[in-house]
Amino acid sequence: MKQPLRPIFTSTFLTNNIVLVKAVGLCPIIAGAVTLKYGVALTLCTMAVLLPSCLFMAVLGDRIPKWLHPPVYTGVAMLLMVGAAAVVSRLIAPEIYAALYLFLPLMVVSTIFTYHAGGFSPGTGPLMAAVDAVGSSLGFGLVICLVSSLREISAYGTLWGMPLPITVRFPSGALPFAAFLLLGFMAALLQHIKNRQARRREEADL
Amino acid sequence: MALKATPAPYLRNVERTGSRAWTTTLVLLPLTAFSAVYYGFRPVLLILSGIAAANLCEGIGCLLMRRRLTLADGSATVTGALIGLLMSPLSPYWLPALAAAFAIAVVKMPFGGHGHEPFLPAAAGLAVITQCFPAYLFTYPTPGLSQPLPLGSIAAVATETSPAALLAAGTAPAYTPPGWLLGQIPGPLGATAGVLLLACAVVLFLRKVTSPLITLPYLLTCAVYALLFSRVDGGGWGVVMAELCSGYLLFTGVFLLPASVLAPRGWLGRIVYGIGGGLLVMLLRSFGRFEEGACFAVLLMNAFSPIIDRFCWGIVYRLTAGRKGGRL
Repeated sequence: MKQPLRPIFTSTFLTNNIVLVKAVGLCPIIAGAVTLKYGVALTLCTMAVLLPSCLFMAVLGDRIPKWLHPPVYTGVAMLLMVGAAAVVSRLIAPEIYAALYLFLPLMVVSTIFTYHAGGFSPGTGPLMAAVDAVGSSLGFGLVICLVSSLREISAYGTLWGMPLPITVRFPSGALPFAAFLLLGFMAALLQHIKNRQARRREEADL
Repeated sequence: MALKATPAPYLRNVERTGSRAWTTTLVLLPLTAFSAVYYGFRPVLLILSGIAAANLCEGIGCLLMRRRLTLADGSATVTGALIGLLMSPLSPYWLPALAAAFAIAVVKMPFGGHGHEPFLPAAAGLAVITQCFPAYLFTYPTPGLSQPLPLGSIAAVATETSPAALLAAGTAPAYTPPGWLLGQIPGPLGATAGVLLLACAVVLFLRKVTSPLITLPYLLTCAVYALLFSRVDGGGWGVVMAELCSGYLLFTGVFLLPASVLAPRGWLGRIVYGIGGGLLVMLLRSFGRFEEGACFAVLLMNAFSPIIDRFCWGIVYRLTAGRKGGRL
């Protein structure tokens, strides 16, 4: 099974975005991504954990019986996440770790890992698995950064901690329902764009 | 003949939707007049602000979607008026406008306009401002017959703890039955006059705009729940009356819950829907964050409505199958 690499990347990153189309990894976006800093931290941690565990499963997945896959990739992801969390809390920003406290370890059992480390990677080449992992992390990152910056602007009037000249505040922007609404509209927008492109392609074919 | 299989709700853009909406609007007029008697001209402005915002958003939505203007069917006006009537008399004028704009621009138009909305737009608009601005929504003035509220600044107006808040705190509100029924209690604009609301309900039943099979089980469930699990020590019929007449429980049962597009079509489904709504309203009062969470109950029941309808349809069909004259 040999697939070209670029479609894999664009598919997971944009056209079949893992969050907006497959509805994977919603929990951290809805509960954790309240400010842009948290969004970026969650993206980086996802990438730091997803890339190695996908590579691991791509290389060793065929040699492990299928029923053992979930504990193996969850275990690998857990070990990596402990490391990533330690780096965040010790070296980068303890306050981000304190704020995200529960959501970082919860990322390990996020459906992103089930889909990509468990579903896609085993049996593919390491290169393909890596492209898929990077694409899906960036796709996740794109959505979480958009949602978190919009929520930060509306709820606190700041972006990346810097105050913006906006006086109107919607404190409830930080509540989960605001993120659900945003995700719903973003998914609808993506679907709209895809529908329009498909229609154009049809017209061009005719 | 080509048959199309679709899930409930089945009422989509039937020719009578327009007249239904305008009947509801007419029924809402006495409620508006009633609140004007108690609070002066301010409530009328609040309701008009909701109606204007709803119609504006509907118009813009129709233009954006390149559709025929649907303002004449009156559904946007009903949404705006329902939202306006559930404001506190002291709410700022932008609050009903914001709720109505959310209801139309987020909950109604993106899903395809009237007949296609998955949730009752008025309940959704109300839920959002309940979450965002509970202080504006749940601060009520003392109702006074001869003291109209000022149209401008309301800083000097005396406020009173509403009966719903008293019940939430575990105290029995001390109002007499005439006070409850005639609306001499602090509460939302159009939701305090029990007698008037019941009259509205009868008119809506007679014109077949709403179904008594939803409203009556709903009220009965609320009453039984209030009697069995009283939030006030001692309980009794006085507390049941207080629970039914405080907040906008009665208003929900008359206008919001049985809204025709979203309610189940079968008779058993309607009864189950009403009972479920009543249970949720009372549970949200007992354990919720706000003194009144009926709008959330309506949204939840809307989500379950198609499932309830299909399930109950099956049961009724099995019970009456083969019997002549069996009614679905």
